Amino acid sequence: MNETIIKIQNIFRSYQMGAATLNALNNVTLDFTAGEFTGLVGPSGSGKTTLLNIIGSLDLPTAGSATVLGKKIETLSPKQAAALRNFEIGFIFQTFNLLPVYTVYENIEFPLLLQSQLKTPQRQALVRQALEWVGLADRANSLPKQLSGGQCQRVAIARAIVKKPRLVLADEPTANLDAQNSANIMEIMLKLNQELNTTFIFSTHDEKVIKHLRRKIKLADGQVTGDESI
Amino acid sequence: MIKFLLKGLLRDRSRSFFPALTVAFGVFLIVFLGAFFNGALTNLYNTTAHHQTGHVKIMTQAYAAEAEQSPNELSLLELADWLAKLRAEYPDIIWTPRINFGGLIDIPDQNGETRAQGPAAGIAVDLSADSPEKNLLNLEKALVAGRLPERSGEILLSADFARRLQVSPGDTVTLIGSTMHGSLAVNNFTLAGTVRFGVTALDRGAIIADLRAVQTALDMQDAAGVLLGFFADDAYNDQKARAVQAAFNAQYQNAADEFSPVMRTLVEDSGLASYFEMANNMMFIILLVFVAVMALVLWNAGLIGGLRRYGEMGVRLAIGESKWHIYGSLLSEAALIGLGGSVIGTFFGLLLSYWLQYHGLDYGAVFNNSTMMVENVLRAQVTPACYIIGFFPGVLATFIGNALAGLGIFKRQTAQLFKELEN
Repeated sequence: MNETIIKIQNIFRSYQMGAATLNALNNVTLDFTAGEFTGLVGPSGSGKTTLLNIIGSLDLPTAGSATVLGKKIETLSPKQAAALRNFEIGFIFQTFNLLPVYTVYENIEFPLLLQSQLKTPQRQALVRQALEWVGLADRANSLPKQLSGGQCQRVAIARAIVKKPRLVLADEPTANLDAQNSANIMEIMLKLNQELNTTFIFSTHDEKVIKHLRRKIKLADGQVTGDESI
Repeated sequence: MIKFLLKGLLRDRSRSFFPALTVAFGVFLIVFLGAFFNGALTNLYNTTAHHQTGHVKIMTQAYAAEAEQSPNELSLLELADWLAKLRAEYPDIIWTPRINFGGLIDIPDQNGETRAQGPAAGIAVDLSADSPEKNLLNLEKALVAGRLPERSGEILLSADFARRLQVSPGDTVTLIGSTMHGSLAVNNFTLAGTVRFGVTALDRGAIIADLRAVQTALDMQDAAGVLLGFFADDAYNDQKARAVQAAFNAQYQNAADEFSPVMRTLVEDSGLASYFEMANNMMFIILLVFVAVMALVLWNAGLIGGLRRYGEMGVRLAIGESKWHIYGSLLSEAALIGLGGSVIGTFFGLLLSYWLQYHGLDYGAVFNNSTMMVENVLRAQVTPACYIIGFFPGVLATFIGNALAGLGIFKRQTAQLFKELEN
């Protein structure tokens, strides 16, 4: 049985909106094990992104506890949270967010440059491997503006997984892609999930993503309303 | 990482080109102004030293008290002894005596009647073959017509003065003045040549005569108004001058004897100390203003750049780069831009400065009524400091500008990144 890598216990996240208090997460308790391919599914405002933020150490719960890869998120300093993201968590965004002046190779290399212990040959090997995974070895020297949307998202995936993180968080990764590209992207992520045992957690309401999930967690009004393994 | 940042800067012109151009322009101005100030000050130092004060100047205390009047009746006596003593005690300094005198130049017609007259200020200098004066006053270069005096009884007149008096080389001119004992002195001289120093204060009405001729004419045998000392490298060094002055005055100055000698330095004697201090202060103020203005411009450029790179910063934060690391990388970029801009600005600043050093700029019209000892052609002077003077403000301004603009990174909420990066 796979180990539990994320343990969410009775977390709340509320925001002050003037005089009113908005409860984005309301007593959420969840566990995630290594190698999961899971989606947080729900309408806008249901708390998907807030939960993803907390798991990704980008935000803190107002109450409750979130332990991610052995680290209690609510006790981490900003520097420790940055280090957790740098070494253990990969992020994939809806709009790719590649650095426009750098080549595909350099975009993928960037997270590795932040890990100062890696020497150039090690970085080169990891970047080449990531390029192979996403099938873009022949576009290594292209700039993002020379790529299609699907290719850009593949670069973003390579950037997220080049450091071989144990966890990848993806926010609506197919929202800006057509059906064919979405299918390709999902296939790549499934392959990486299976080959590297990387845990993928998606925030999505896209059916093209949902149909590939092995676990689907439904959220509504900040609460878990369903949790089914498929 | 530096290589990575450098690639970004080179490829993203809007991130590097405008700031580097701004820095380059500012540094160009600083380097050029610095060299121009150097040139102007050196010009002032040299002209004043060569024509008026030397690097150090010895005279009697009584003469010093009324030096503006050139009181030859208070001159230093036993000149030959003094010269021998000074040359033995201070062999590194070139000593030369001078007499400043005033008088009326009278130009007679063929009947011996006055045809033209004009007041003149004269300098009697040692024009013998081994004297440094020809070089100090740059007489050969200043010669406009005729030749330098070769015999006793020959003088030089400033070219403008000679033209006004309508005399030319070979003509006889009469100097009406007073001896050092106060009696009338009337002496005829032959005009050997005319000179133009390019210093308006001198060119208005100067006589250059041989020391011995003037000593005879003004009854000043073995006497001179002042004894000038020049450092061998012809560069004024205030510290060195003060040290020599202190030693000399301690040995020879006697407060009780008004005819005992006293030494003054160039800066003291010319009253240039406050001028130089003001010039240095002005340069410092210019530097400060430059840094402030440039920092403001670059701050704004940084803010605009920050907006353009909002997404990039967000991704970098999400990926796990700490805010301090991002801030550090912005400052590193600033250092690279500052250095690059400073190199470019220094290059062009030096280029123009060297041009002005060799070609000069004729300011003669500005000095028409001036009594300042300044050459009419102002030249820049490139010193080793000019090669580095721009780097400090260039890098500092970029650094401050980016440091202020980059503070925005600390206001980013990581919790908003997913939302912000959706667009």
